[in-house]
Amino acid sequence: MNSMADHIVSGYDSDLNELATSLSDLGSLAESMVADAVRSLGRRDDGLARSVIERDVSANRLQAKIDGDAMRILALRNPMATDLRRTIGAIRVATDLERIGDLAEGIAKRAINLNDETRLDMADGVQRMGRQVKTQLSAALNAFLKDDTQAALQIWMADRDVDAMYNVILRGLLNEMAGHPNRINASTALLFAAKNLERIGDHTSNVCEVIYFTRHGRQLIEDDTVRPALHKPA
Amino acid sequence: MAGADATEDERRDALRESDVVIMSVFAIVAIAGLGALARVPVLAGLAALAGFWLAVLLFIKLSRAIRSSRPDRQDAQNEFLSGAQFAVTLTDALPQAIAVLDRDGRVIHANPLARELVDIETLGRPLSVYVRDAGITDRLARALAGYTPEPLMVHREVPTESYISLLFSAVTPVEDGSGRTIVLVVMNDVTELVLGNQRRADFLANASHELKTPMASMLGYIETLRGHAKDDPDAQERFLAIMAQQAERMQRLIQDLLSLRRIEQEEHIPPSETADLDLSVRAAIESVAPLAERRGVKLKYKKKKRAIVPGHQDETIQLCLNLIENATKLSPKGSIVHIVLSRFEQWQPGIPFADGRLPDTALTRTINTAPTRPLPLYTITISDEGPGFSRAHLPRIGERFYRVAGDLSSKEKGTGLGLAIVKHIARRHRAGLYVRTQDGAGTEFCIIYQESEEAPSETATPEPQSIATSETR
Repeated sequence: MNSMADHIVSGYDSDLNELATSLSDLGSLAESMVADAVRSLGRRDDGLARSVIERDVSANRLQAKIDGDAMRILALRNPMATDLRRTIGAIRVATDLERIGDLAEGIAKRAINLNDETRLDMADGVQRMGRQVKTQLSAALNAFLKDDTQAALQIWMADRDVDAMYNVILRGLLNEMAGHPNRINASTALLFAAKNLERIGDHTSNVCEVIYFTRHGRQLIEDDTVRPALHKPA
Repeated sequence: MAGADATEDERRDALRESDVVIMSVFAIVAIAGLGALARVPVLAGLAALAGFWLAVLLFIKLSRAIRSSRPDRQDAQNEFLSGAQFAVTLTDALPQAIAVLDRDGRVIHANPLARELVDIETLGRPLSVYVRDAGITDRLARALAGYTPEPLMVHREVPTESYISLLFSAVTPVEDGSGRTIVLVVMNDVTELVLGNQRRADFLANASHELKTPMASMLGYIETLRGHAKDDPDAQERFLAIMAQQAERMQRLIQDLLSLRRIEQEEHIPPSETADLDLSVRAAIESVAPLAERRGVKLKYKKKKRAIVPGHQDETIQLCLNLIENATKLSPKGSIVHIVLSRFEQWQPGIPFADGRLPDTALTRTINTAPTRPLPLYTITISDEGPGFSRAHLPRIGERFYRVAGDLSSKEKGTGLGLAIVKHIARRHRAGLYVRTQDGAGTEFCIIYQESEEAPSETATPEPQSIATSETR
């Protein structure tokens, strides 16, 4: 926002802007991968799942580009204060987004396996969790691109909702497996998908922590207002 | 703009004046020369020629000066039409969201509609910061290369689900001369087009599915009334009462479905009017009071005068009504439903349930996140002392037709849409919505609204309010 004030060297500005554009691209790629992976799970759509797997290559490429660009800024421009944190943050967020892409790819692979099995009722729960995770990821990316630390804090705290959802699904699937040994294959695949979603949620929280750190220069967990709210159990 | 025009004109005038000076110097020299040379006839002839030549020169100069004085006006007009300020005024007045990007994709201008549509706060940052889609970079490059890229459909999920179509077209302003290219981005909100059909289909499916069961049981009763209950007035009375109840429930269901659809349709458009939360809570309490009395439940309201927030008054009333009614229905006899309205200067992680009554071990879920603009906040916390619900239900609260309470009598049984309506109203109003429950201890809902930006000018006495706030903390 205002911290993006003009620098005297306009090339510096355009470097930072290009970094933001690349991150936005990678973010929307990761978002679409998560959304489509979850959708392929619900619709039992092999083609969609395969397209998610294919997109992982471009996610990796974009991450490498962001890494390179950020490195060049560090080397050539010697960024200070917010700019420094922003550049480091870009590297960290890019890594998280790339991991999110990998995890979405994992879900898509499970979805292809699952399509050979009979559909379980728990798939609805996993899909619901997927939608929640996707919404949180979108909100986190919005907050990141707009430096909205308050929104970041809220999303960070809402991650416990995802964890709670995961626990409910885990229990449900364990019951399913205990009761119906012939559904163990399908249940395990779903469990992996749910676990991946939960991991995506964790990476989303990481993005929120980066937003906070970029703006304030200290860790989110050290915030005085966070601590009392944290004592509530997850 | 006006200042630039004036200096331009002055410069032109100055040029003309200098011409006149030069010409008069020539004339004076020529006349002096003529006087000196008039004695010799040949030279007199030459002098006459020189005089003639000077006169022609003078005439050309003068006519040019006169001619240039007229097109002057036109130039000024052209300049007015092509000036940057004029373009800005024009885009701002267009009933269409438009952003102007430079070669690098940075937003250099956005008209108010565009600012509102995609939340543009500061100029000079890339468009991808506000609208995220992997296709933007590609479309921008194609537009700059001189092609007309096909429109790009962007799906957004925050703050509400919406679809925006983006049209890119590159322009090189001619008069500028620098050859700089800018890109116009025309944005359209196509949410209703994309989601409308889906929602209509959902509505029909929901309505027919939910009405099927009560309709079947009604038909059953009608059959019985026609058959062996024909001559049994007692049974007739009983069956008719049940049928009336069923019919009422169906009616409520249709009403709820209709209002849900209406709210959903407008969800992506933030409300332009303001509502008073205090008024809403009081109105809701008034309509729940008879039910509360019947059930022997007390409603306690800790109020705050004037809580003006962006929102639709009727919708905020419905939001409060649904939550308070739910709480009342779930409360055991003799218990109290607490409703607290508070004001906070700014958002903090601890604000949801700051007025809560449940222990910290309660399970919490964020249904909608709260708005984060730097404005004061109002929270409404509604706590009941009912049975609460288990962990497994929590993720599904707010889903349509999802019912936690299974053991309510059919008369008080809801339509399963109450909380879905609450969720969608909160989303439309960009309000936060949180739920918290403890098995056996109760359930709490917390709604967080941002104060309306227009509110401070309306409130005549801001000071007592801030004192009241510190008391509640």
